[in-house]
Amino acid sequence: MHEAARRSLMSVMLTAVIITANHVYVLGPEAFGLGAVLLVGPLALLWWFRNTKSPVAFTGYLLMSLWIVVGFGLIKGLWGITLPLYLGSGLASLSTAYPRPTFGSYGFEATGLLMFIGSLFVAYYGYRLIESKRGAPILLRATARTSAVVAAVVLLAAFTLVDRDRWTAPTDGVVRFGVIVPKTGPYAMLGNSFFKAVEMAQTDLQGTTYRYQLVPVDVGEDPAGARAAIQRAIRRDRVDAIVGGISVFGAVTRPLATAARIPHTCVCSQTWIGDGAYNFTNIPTPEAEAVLWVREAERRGIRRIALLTRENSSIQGHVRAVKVEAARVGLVISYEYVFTDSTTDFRPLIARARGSSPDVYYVETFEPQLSILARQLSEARIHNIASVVAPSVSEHRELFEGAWYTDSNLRDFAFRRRFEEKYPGTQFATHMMPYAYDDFNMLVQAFERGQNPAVYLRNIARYDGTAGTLTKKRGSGTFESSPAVWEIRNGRPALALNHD
Amino acid sequence: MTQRIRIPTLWALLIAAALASAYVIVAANPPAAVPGGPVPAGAFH
Repeated sequence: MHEAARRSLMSVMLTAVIITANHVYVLGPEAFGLGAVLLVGPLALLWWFRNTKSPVAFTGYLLMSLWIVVGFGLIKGLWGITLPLYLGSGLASLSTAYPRPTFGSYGFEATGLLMFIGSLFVAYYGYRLIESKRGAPILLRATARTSAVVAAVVLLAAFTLVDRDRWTAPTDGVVRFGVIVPKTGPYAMLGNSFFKAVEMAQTDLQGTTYRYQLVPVDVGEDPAGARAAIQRAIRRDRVDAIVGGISVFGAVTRPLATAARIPHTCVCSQTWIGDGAYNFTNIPTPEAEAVLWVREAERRGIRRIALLTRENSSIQGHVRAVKVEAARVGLVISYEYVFTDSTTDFRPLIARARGSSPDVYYVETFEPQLSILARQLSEARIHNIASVVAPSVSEHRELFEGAWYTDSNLRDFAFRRRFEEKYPGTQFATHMMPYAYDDFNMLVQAFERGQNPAVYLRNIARYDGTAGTLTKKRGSGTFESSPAVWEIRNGRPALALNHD
Repeated sequence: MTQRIRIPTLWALLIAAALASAYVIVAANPPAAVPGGPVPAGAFH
């Protein structure tokens, strides 16, 4: 009895340490509180039992062991971490019907695995402790072994069954699409246009099997508020898919869509948001923009570039890609300054940039800063301006007259015309609207063909969209497309004359 | 005696193999890395 208790306690203590380490990744310092309970509780109960032979103490000790085995070992360690790690990855590599699991850091995954292994020891020595107390075996050795093997096979089969994404016909023939639309704050204008593009896609549908309902999800201004709004749409409104845009909200939606196992398309330049399981991004990548931008710069005889850009990860993603591509072909960055969102007087920067004799001024920021910068450049009689996307979304495009930039390749101009006729006064954001329209239609195709929408998106390799052909590599969550060179002519975006 | 030496060794080997293969799998499917830090407010796409 003494030896069995000692071994049982040792396995419990060791596993408690591993559980604590694993939960530091999730709970932070609060994990040490959990660790203290798991270490002190069993120790105190066994000490009590040893001194008094109290059945309450013994039952309490066994219940704590059971908590470790079932709660932490089987549910979290095995089902939540070990099975996705090995079986989930394996199944996803065999068939797109299985999602590629999302992993945490190696430390989290490794401690999760050890949590499961530790719990096996806790279960085994707990079992031996009961046997020792009874003075007789609970099960015959062969029966115990067979039961363990059967339980393992059942668990593996259950995971294989549950992990597979299956088609289920929508309830009442209605498919609900959550549309991420910030109605307030700096994105309100874009959110409004985005929603209208999806609405246009919805009204364009004809003769569909199912009815498609749009559920606007007002994500507000900040990610914390967005999280609650998206959760509400998933749980209360029971949306079947999410069509979203703007990286800041896509990042919040990503884990929620994964947990709900519903597809989420995002017009986001941050390609990491697309995991290829439930999340997919659809917009030209910064690298694709940069390749075209530099090619156009070379065509225009540009050798020296001055960069005046705002501190922001989307913008700096473009800048980084442009710099890499420029360096590759030997273009010179004559001047570079990254300003903050509070900068309003750009004149000293413009003077310094001019001093470096650039052939072009690459500018990128958001409104209202964008118009302020454009106005000060104009006052300095600088008109050789270039960018990625920015002039397209400027509120004062006339300030960018003659500027060139890369943006989405809008193949279907009738789409823009129809949009502007249907929604007069609503700004058409070339880099977002066509993709919102395409995202909606790709998801509709999945439902109309009776396929699980996430699996359908995983399988798409090519899609002829309103802004050119979209392609996606196997297993990737990024729909890629080629941008085009645009100019501001007569105060409006127009494809460059050399456009092919 | 043989069993007392062999079983812990087998467990040690099993755990080492599990941890090593987990490392390989996680390295092949790294967690989402956010280039340039968290996604900021103000990004227009």
